[in-house]
Amino acid sequence: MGWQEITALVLVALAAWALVRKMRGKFKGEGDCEGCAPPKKKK
Amino acid sequence: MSSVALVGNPNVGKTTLFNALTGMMQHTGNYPGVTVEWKSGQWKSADLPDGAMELVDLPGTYSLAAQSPDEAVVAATLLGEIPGLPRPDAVIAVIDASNPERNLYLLSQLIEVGIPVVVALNMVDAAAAKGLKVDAVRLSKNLGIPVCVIRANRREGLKGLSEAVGARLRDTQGASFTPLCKDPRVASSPDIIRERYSWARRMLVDCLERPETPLQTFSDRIDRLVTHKFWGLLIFFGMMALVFQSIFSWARPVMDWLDLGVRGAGDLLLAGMPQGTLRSLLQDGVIAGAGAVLIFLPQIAALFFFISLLEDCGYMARTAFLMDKLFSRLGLSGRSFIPMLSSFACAVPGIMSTRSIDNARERLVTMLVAPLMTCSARLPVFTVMIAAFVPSTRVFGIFNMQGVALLGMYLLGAATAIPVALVLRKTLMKNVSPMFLIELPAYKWPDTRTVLQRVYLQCRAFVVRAGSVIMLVSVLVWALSYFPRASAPVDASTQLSQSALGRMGKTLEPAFKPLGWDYRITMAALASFPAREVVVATLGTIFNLSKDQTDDVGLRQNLKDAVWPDGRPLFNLAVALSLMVFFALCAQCASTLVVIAKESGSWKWAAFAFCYMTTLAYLGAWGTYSLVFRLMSAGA
Repeated sequence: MGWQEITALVLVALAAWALVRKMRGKFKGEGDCEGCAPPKKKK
Repeated sequence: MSSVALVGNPNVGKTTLFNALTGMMQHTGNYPGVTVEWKSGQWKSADLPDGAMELVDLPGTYSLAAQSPDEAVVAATLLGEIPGLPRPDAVIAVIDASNPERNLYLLSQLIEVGIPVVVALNMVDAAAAKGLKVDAVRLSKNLGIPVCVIRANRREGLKGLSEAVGARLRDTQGASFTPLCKDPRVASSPDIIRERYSWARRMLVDCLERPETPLQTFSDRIDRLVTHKFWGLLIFFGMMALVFQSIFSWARPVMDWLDLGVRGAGDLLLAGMPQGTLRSLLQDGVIAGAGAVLIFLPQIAALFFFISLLEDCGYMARTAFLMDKLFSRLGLSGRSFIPMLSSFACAVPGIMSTRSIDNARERLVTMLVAPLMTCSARLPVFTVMIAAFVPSTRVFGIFNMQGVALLGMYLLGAATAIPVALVLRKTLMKNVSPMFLIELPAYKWPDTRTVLQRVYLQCRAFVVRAGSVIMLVSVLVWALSYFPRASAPVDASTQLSQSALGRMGKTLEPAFKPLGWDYRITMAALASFPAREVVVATLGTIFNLSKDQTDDVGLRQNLKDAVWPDGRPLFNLAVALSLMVFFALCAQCASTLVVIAKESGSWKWAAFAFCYMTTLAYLGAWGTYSLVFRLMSAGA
């Protein structure tokens, strides 16, 4: 397996992990559009 | 840190004042239901104790005796019942100077709560246009509390307000007012309501100048035409046609430049990199996927520019009034139209704004139909299909067919929402006769800062989505389309059909073939569950991988070049329309389903919304494909 394959597979694994986190956030109600976010305190 | 709450009737400029004092950019609007929950920020000023306070923006309410969920937040905050939010040390009562009597009704309740109050008298220019003048000094003397004249939209009078709040917190002497009710949340009896209004009139007796007969304002004159049952609707549809025409034609050149820029950046990134797996991931997954979505930024900016313009000048509130007339004939109300109106930007805040609806069943029906409104996420899907497959011919000499098609797709969601709401109303909300009251704000020249701020926030959110969820899905779709690799060298199309995604797609293809879709379109559509615009990225990735040439010709050309195994073109007008109708009606948005579950209090309703919308989308796409295909065959 060459360096391109290894790097690509690592990136895919990271993307899958990030997407799972993102979707878990979405299911907790954290959106990423205007007005989607729950009330937050901005300091 | 001490905290101060902003309280007032709906649409008196609370969020505008909040943004002016904290430097934040919360969405403001001149119709009720824009703010439905508390938001806080830091208000810094040398006049305040410790130089800063926590400022809490609350939803608008006419009374502390709450009728709807958003109004209940106000009383709960003032009584210190919101978890994580301390009881405020002071209240800024924002009062609309053009309607002081009704605003003072709420003030009478605020004073009873026992928290120090400072009055911010806003919208003095709107009052002057009506011939009303409030003497703030005398009113302050009558009330026994400070009254500051402000112009929140122009950031005027803020220094005086911070001085007054600072002084009020140091001086603990409050206004003398004997409470009429023990609990401000209990609905007042008619006697108490009369007593409160009588108190308001007494407070205003020597400080309010008003004309003998109400003046006919500029807004009144425009409203005679704009809210007319026939001319009003004609103006509304004419204006919408112009907006969508402009979105299509104005944004096009900028999109082409951006497309060139994305491709140029891709070439730069890939320069010198040999053919291989990583190069394919970057080229087919990231650039052809997420990059294909990014080029729609100018259209998103144009759409929100027009929405903000119409909203800020006061026209949007009129459309709710207009639609109420239309909706009431169908047994619905304009109250339901406001969340639907917000859903044209995004269904999530739209569904949240149903909190301003006091009737639980009407609220449920509204949140179930709001996702049918055409949100901005559908715009890239429509544009890519229209630009590639709808001819750019003239209609009635002035309109372009592509702009008309875009308007048609936008209206499809709203038109579908009416029968759906009717069916739900007949089954879910029997015996409810909704009534709708809306205060029409005076027309004004749109505020540049407000308009540009909204456009900026939406563009930022779009870029964030393209760089996060859209890119992540593109990378995973690429991996599913790229692996497993064939043992012997085969052409790109065969490789794709033998990949994991190809095999899944081939299994599902028979179910979607009646819509004119092959396994590639099927998988692109199904992979877009996180958000609708993801489909543009997944189409970009899949169709870039299914061709043998490595040069980047763009998504539009890739779709035009795609063929069935027998060599027939895959895409034509019928397939493009079928895909657009599917995305106009489907529930491919995880955030929307989550917010329905949260707001309705049950996942059952989110599942119901997903099922009914997916069924509608499938049937709509099938009907459209069958009809257009037959028409095309008859015409050929």
